[in-house]
Amino acid sequence: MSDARLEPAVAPGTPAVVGDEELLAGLAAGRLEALDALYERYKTMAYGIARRITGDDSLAEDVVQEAFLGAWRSADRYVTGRGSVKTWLLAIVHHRAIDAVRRRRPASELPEEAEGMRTPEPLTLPDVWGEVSGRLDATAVQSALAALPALQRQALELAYFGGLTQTEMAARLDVPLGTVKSRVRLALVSMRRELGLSVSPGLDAGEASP
Amino acid sequence: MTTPRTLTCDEMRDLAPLFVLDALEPAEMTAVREHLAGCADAHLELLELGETGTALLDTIEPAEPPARLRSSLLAAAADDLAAGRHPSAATTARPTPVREGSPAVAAVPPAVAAVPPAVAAATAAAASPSNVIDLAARTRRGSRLGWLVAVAAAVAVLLIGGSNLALRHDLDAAEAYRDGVTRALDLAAKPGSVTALLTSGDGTVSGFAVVGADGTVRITMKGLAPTTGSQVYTAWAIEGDAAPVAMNDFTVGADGVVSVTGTSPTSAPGATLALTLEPGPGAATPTLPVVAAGVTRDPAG
Repeated sequence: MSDARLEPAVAPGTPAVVGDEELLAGLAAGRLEALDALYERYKTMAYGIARRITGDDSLAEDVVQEAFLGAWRSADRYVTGRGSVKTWLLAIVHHRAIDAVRRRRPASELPEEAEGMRTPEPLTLPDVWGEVSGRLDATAVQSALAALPALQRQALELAYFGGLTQTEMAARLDVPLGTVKSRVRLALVSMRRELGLSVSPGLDAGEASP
Repeated sequence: MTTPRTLTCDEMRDLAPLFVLDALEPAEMTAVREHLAGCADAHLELLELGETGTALLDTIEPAEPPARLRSSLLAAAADDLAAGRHPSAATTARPTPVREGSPAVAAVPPAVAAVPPAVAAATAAAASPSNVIDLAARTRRGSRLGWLVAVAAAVAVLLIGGSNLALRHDLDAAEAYRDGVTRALDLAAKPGSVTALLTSGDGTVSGFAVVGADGTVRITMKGLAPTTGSQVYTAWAIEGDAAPVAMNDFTVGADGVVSVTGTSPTSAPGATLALTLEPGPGAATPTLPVVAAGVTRDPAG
């Protein structure tokens, strides 16, 4: 009974919308209902991403479960200010999905994993990039993507949604590595322009100049 | 910079677009991270490229996952807590994380010797006054301390081991268990509820119990040996120095999974919940050994 602790000030029955960061604090404290709420909030986006990347419903389920379990185990390592919880979470999903695709690939050069390693360990957190400030319309992003020259869009999609590494892309497309790099760079820079976002001079350097 | 063989800033910029898309070879990903860790340049181009990459996630059509994914996730997370894999377990002073597949379960005696605070608290709570001991002394094979030791051992395992149901393929039992956890969770979400993870000494039995503010108990267990004849499992609540109170009796089928409800004399955190196998219904005192046990806590804590 020495263990009695005060609850955080939450008025019982108040249907206040709990913020993402608050939910994440719940995850860090081991509260299953916080995980449940976070899952409810992002499950369709997470599953959509996982399915798009893996192209396999049941693998996508595994990916989503592993991603949320990863967030569950690593919630205490989320750093405020380095992108929102949503971005953090979806980046984990993306990262896990890419991982799953690479593992499934037979000729993968990835190191062999010991049996039993498949359990999601306290996962390697992906590098997370902030989201574009202000809300971007999904259709705006969609059309910026569609506006790219076909080869650039292909490179971007193979990398981001296909899980190919630059070496694999070069082999698949039968082009030099430098070409892969410049296509991807150009694609990202053009998308920024198309979305009306600033582009640093540095990004335009090299092959990216007109 | 600080590392001997690392990328130059120009090489780093060259790799940046593929880095933010997670499309470099693993060794290159590492090289970039090492460069960033030691580089004075903030490499702001990464942020611009990175946020553009992130925006691509918004182009993906959301899709509704199968309903079973929710219960599967929650059951795996509950197992995680039971196995001490969750970082919040560190706050109960468990020194080293236990990895799946490691011989941690074999290390039960030392772990019990180094009694974590939660266990010490449970033991102390149960040990102080005499009621529990008196009752335990009347059990078939109990020494006076048998009950306490059994509870402590079962609770200790809660912190050091467990199995990962989500990765096993005994699907029917798994689904039944998941559904049970999901239903228990609905009760746990209500204000004033407390939860406990119940595990056995060898980690083969585990489960999740919730006590609602009104004393309603929902227990979901897996890995229980099937009952035969008139045998029943009895769920007990022990609050502080009080005698064990039977909450309910139940039988278990071949799948070893059960979800039951009952009534607890207490909904305060810190109570010990335990399961015993009894020769028949209506046991007044628990028969050792304890099959599984755990201590309730406030999930909001």
